[in-house]
Amino acid sequence: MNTVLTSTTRSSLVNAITGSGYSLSQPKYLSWGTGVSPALPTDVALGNPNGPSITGTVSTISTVTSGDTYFCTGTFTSSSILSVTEVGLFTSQSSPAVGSLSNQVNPTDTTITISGYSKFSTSFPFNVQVSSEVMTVLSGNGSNVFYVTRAANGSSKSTSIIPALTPVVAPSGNMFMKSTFSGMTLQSGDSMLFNIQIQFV
Amino acid sequence: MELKPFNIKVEAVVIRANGDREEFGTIGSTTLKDNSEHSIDINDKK
Repeated sequence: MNTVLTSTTRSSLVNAITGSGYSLSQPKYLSWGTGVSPALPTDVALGNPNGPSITGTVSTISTVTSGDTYFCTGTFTSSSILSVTEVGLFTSQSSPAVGSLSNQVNPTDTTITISGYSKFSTSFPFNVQVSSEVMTVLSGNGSNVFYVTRAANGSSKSTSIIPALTPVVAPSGNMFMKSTFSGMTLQSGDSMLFNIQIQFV
Repeated sequence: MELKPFNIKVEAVVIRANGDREEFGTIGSTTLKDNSEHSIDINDKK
């Protein structure tokens, strides 16, 4: 379990301070999921997003000094039984592409076989989140294989086998922040409200 | 000198289909300073 601003967010905030230009859109889109890996700054997506993102309600609040905190709130409603383990803030609302590994991935592999190939972009390269590792998809075979560069975006290559059925997720927009936590079980029809505060100190 | 430029706090409330409201409080928080996280047991409801 962890809560982080992503590395992209961090560098963009520094760019804003240095005058190089803040490059991210407003992070007002929330996504929730059931991924099992703790959040890392190098992550580009949730581990296993559940459905499309929602538009949160954004405001500026005062925690210690005037206007020092970004506040985003949003509510999801579950259409099935879920154990929610993660939430993220994104700069775009479009749905992420989600497939899964058809076969296990070994540490030396540079190809991955997936189901759901057609859900992904045909414009290469792009990054995918596979467990705690980010891979850059360089090309594909048009049906079920991606050719990848391992350990992308500063992530660490998995030193153990990544098992079959692990979700493969291509993000929509930039992930600004991610939090992972103990699973919260929801039944169909239950809702979950998130309040996310980022306070500058 | 360590930097501590921001704090993140994630709070959650579950609203059951029957209208019952379960406030879990802070389920995640961190600072860049030490990249720590402070989760609470979700059964430790307010």
